Amino acid sequence: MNSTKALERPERAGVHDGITAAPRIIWWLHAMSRATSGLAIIVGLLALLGWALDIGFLKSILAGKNTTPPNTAIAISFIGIALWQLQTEQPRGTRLRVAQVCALVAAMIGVLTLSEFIFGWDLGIDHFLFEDSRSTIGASILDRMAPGTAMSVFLLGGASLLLCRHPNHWSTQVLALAVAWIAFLACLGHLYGAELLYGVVCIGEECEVTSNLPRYTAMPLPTAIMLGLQALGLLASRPNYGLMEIISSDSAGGLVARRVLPAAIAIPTAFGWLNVFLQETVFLQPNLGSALVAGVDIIAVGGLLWWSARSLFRIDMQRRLTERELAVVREREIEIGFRIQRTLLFDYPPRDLPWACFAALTIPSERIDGDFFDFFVHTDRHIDVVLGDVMGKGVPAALLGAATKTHLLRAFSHLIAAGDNHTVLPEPRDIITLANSKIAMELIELESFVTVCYARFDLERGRLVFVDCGHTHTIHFQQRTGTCVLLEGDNLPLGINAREIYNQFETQIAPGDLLVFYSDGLTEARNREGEFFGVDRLVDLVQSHADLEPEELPKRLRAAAEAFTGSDSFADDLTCVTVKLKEHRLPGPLKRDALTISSDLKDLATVRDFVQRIASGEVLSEERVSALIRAATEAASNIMIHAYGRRPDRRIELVGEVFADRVVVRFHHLGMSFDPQKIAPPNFDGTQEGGFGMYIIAQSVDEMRYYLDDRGQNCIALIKWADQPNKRRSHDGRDI
Amino acid sequence: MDVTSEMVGNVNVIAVLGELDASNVNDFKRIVLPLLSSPVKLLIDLAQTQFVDSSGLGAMISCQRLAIAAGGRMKLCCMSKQVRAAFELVRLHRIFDIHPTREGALQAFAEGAEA
Repeated sequence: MNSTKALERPERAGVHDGITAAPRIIWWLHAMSRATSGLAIIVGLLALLGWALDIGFLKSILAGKNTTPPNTAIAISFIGIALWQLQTEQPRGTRLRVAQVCALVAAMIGVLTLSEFIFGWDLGIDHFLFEDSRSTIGASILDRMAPGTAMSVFLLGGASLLLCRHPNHWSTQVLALAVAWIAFLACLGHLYGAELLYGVVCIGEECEVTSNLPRYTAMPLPTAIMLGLQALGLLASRPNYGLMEIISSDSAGGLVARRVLPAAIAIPTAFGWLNVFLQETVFLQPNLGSALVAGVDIIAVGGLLWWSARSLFRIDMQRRLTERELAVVREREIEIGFRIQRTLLFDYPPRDLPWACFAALTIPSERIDGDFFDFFVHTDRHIDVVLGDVMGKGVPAALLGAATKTHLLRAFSHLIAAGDNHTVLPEPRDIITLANSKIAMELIELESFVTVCYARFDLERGRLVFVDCGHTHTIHFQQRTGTCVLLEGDNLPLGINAREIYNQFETQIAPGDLLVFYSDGLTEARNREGEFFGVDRLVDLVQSHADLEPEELPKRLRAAAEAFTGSDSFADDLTCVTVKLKEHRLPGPLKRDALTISSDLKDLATVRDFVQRIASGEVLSEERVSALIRAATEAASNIMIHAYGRRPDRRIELVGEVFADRVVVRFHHLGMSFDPQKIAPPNFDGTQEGGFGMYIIAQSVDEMRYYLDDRGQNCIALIKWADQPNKRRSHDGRDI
Repeated sequence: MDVTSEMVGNVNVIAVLGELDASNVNDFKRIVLPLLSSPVKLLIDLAQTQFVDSSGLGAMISCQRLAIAAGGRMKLCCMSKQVRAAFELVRLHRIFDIHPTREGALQAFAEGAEA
């Protein structure tokens, strides 16, 4: 784990997410660092060369009027070499060793010289290289580097040593700042003529005692500048870390730092100098200069601050504008997602079905919803209702909801294609089991799951078949008893176990019954006291409003939930589908007749008379009546010959009904049932003498049904619809 | 159902009275099929036939097959609209020689003999 972290850590550890170092500034800082160390090496070596060849100009290159102590030259050039080597962030091998040795020598020179000052001894290091560097009056502290120089050299050497071991340690930057400050104070001393800031100038007999301090040599201005530059060079060599991180960054902070810091140094320096200059020269009143300088100072600093503030202001404005634009874009995306979801996840409830009324309600908690529902209308008597709830909310949940719907439909079509009989609907349990086996692994990987209630309304048999995949329990209000029953399955949600075998359950449904499917967003809505809305409350509500119009019920449930929570927004997505089974009363027949005949073929004529009597003169044309008679004769002879095996002593019950738009003739019998679909169609080439019966029936009536009637008898129903209006016209003779 | 048979020239004319269905198709066959053992010109007159069901149609088919096998011929005539609808339903009008009138059918037999 740790090793991974170490690997993952970006090389530029100090850079935060989203804020990067400005490459141009980094380049400049590196260039400056290199230049200062190069300059230090050259100047230091030149000074040593001056000592070696006794060239006065070069000897005093770092000391102005005086000569440079050789140690100062050595220390400065060695620090320069060390920093040059340390330009590489993590130097190795010879490079590292050279840097270490040079830094160590410089630090030793610094600390030994300091010890000479403190303990008053002479270690001889001041004249170690060049004997003639000794002053004319003998060994003197005046030949040494100044204490400030020694301290600076020691600190810079130490900082370089630290850099060798810890390439990015913040302490090196603190040390460099300390040196920069010492050097800058010395420069100020020179600039303002404040000698104590750089040491006491004390040369031979002319020594002027200005205080009780010991007499030290001074830090010359070129040395101070050189040391200051080296300190800055050291800071610049690591532009991405510690204190430098902000300065080199492309953030607003970096911008302000780069503008204000130079001014913060330059302005006080300039005005301090101006103050001194004015006091010494022009004005008679000593404090007048200070006052004037302070006044101008205010303008300068104030202006600088205003300028920086303006930059920050603009950056801030830009940022807010961008944020607002982003918010608009995000809002628009959510809006589009919401619209897509309306069409993808929520099907419109089917309308105008003769036997049931559907209504749906959905309130997403974050506009985009993890709930979904769908209606698959197979026939007007077979409809599947699916209601699901994806764990989670928002766009990911909506996408998973859409994926789940797709898989349910895919499982459905796959089962139809794979089945033997393509007209038989696949069972809900098989659809769910197959869909789950396909999406479970993906859902498990996404750490989500989907609760689903899959219900099939089979009105032909008056049954509801349902699979409950960990969903809320569907409420079934039974009109017969006036009570509610919770429909409950025993399966896991989709996406828990890919091998789950789903079970389906059946229950009787009857006209007047009401079914309420809902997501847990409804039952788990909380009021201010933290109390759940709950299933019991919902059941009571359904029971007391079962007589409402089906479209009204979801609205009433929503109003109740809102009244309960005291808010019109909910913590979770809230979805509800209600199905009310209508009283399905068909208009009764205009005319009805019944007749019982024997299974003797002789009674075929009786069948024809019966059909002729009931069908003619009513809604059918003469031609359609004879077609119905033809079909009835075939149906009856089929029953007599095939169902009863030509036994003449059995009974066949005939029922004839005339409706406004059709005539129905039914044959009830207790003979063997036979499957008309298994009879092959006849051929018409004259070689086949029988087997035309079924074909004639199918051709002669509009609809033929085989089923068991409510007394368990086989029933064949023949239906002949009333004439089409255009056909009637042709009978009128207009089209002929 | 009743079946009458008469000879008009060399054509044996069979008239079917009433309704021909599964209940009486065997009676019909018992009368007609023995006539077909020799090469015979058979005309079945359906003018008085109100109804023919699928077994009746089957009987017609077997009559024609036997007639041709024995070297004879068979024609139908005078179908009512309803009966013709039954024939057309199973496309038998394509394999039978159906004439609207008895005279037309007899003439067709005569022309066929000359040809």
